[in-house]
Amino acid sequence: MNELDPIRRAFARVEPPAGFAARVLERVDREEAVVLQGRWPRRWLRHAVAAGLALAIGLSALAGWNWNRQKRGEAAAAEALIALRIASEKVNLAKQTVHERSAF
Amino acid sequence: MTGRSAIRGAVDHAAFGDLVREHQSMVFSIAQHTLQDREAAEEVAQDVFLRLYRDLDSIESPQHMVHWLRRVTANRCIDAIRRRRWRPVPIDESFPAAEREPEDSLAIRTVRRLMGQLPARQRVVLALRFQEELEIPEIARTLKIPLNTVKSHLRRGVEALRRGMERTGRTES
Repeated sequence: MNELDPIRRAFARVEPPAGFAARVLERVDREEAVVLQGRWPRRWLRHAVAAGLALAIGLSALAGWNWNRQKRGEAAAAEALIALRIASEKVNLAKQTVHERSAF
Repeated sequence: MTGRSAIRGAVDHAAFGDLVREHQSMVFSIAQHTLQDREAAEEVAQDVFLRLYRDLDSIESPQHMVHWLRRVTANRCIDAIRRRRWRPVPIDESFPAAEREPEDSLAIRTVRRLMGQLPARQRVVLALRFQEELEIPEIARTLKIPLNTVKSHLRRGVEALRRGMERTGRTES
């Protein structure tokens, strides 16, 4: 007799206790029930998070656009003021020249 | 149709029951021989099949399923042994009389008793070698460990069992 024979025989396959497959299927059923219960809130939560993110991105973009517009407006107003000041100085200079010439 | 979709498509709830029945003896036996505790072996085997149900999408072929089942069962058993300092149940409780082969000799009972004293990975390697009759490279692939580690586990495990059987034989005589 081979000395490994008792080892081989000790490792012969054994059947699980009766009803094993049924108990596995019961656990599968229980797990599926939990998954089905949890599916709606999880889907709702996913949608809510996505909507929140989209809203946050939209609001940020709007705020950025507004800020840009305001900055551009302020820059344009400053440029207009400079232009007016230059124009006013030119008019004053012209008036002064006219006065000086008419005085002679 | 790919192998992957073939497996998932063919397995509904009832068909999964057939899959369990087809492989339950292999999975339960690896757990039983490794843990030496019927209740713990059933718990591990149930967990393995539950995980199979969740991971069916990743199974590509029937051969892949067998390989997957052996790997997951082996890892679960190693985890179970390491998680709690496993107290092997006495052999007579672990293998109830109704389940024991009539020709269960003292040597076989000795082997089963000694299994409970070996390190976790050695037990799994022995179960895959002698129960599943896997070759060493296949055991290495299943457990994802080097070939030489498998050889060393196997050599030490067999040696421990052999020494234990010799001691028992001397005591008996």
